[in-house]
Amino acid sequence: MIVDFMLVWLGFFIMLVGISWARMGPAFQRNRYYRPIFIIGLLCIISDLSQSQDQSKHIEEFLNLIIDFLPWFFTGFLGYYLVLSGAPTYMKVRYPPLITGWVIILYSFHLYFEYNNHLSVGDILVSLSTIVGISFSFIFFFFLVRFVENRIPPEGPAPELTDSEKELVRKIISKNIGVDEK
Amino acid sequence: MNDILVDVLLSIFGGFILTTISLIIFQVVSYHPYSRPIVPIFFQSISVFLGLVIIILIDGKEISLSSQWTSILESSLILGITDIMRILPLFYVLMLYFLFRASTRTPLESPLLELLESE
Repeated sequence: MIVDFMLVWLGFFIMLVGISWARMGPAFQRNRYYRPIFIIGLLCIISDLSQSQDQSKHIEEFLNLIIDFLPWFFTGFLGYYLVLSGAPTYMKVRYPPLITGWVIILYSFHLYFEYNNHLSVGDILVSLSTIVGISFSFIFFFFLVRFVENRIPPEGPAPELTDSEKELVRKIISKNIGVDEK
Repeated sequence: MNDILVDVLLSIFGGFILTTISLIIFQVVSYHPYSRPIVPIFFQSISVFLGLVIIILIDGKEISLSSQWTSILESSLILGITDIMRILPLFYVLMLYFLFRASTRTPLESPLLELLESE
């Protein structure tokens, strides 16, 4: 069963690696290859879905669920992206992506009901209980990290900036506030 | 045990195992000099193992070395992913409210932002 399904798990693992690289460490040290890695993982899963023949019933159901999930999810994701890029969060409102995004979001809900009409409210209510497990896992992780971080002795005060560092800071600030250095 | 209760418990442990394994992978592949992942990964691995033991007990099977651990682990991961895919539309609906607010808000007044737009 594991071997039959290996490509999907490999894709799942590679997607997790991509997400992890996108979120790792300080912002200036994040890995720049997270997007291609994520896309490769996604392609692994999709290519395995297209070749899934003679699988066990257990896996067949799971693959069908993924096939029902992908159309509405990616349509909705595109709609959300367009709305956020057109919304007046930082810039002025841009109506073409905003309106197109809302139309695509509405269409994604249509796709959801078209592909998932076999799901019952009871199924979804049972699935909601997974939030308890997910929350417990995050809380457990939080306490483990806090435990480890609390055991690290505090570092001494930072040394004073050197002359070259002071000069660099002065240049950066001058450039940003538009003051002529000379 | 009641069938619905069994499904609920399996969903809880499925979500727990999926999230914990994802966090273990995250800590391994995003290692950097400031992270200290050994202790969390050790205890998280134990918790995944305990989760699998509980799932075997819920199924009413005996725990032994010959138990199909990988198969049970795979089933748990599948269950976790399935449950997340089923409940994701609910979060999509919740997010619509915030998306609507973002669409209708007044842009912030800031000379720096105006400068950026004029470039």
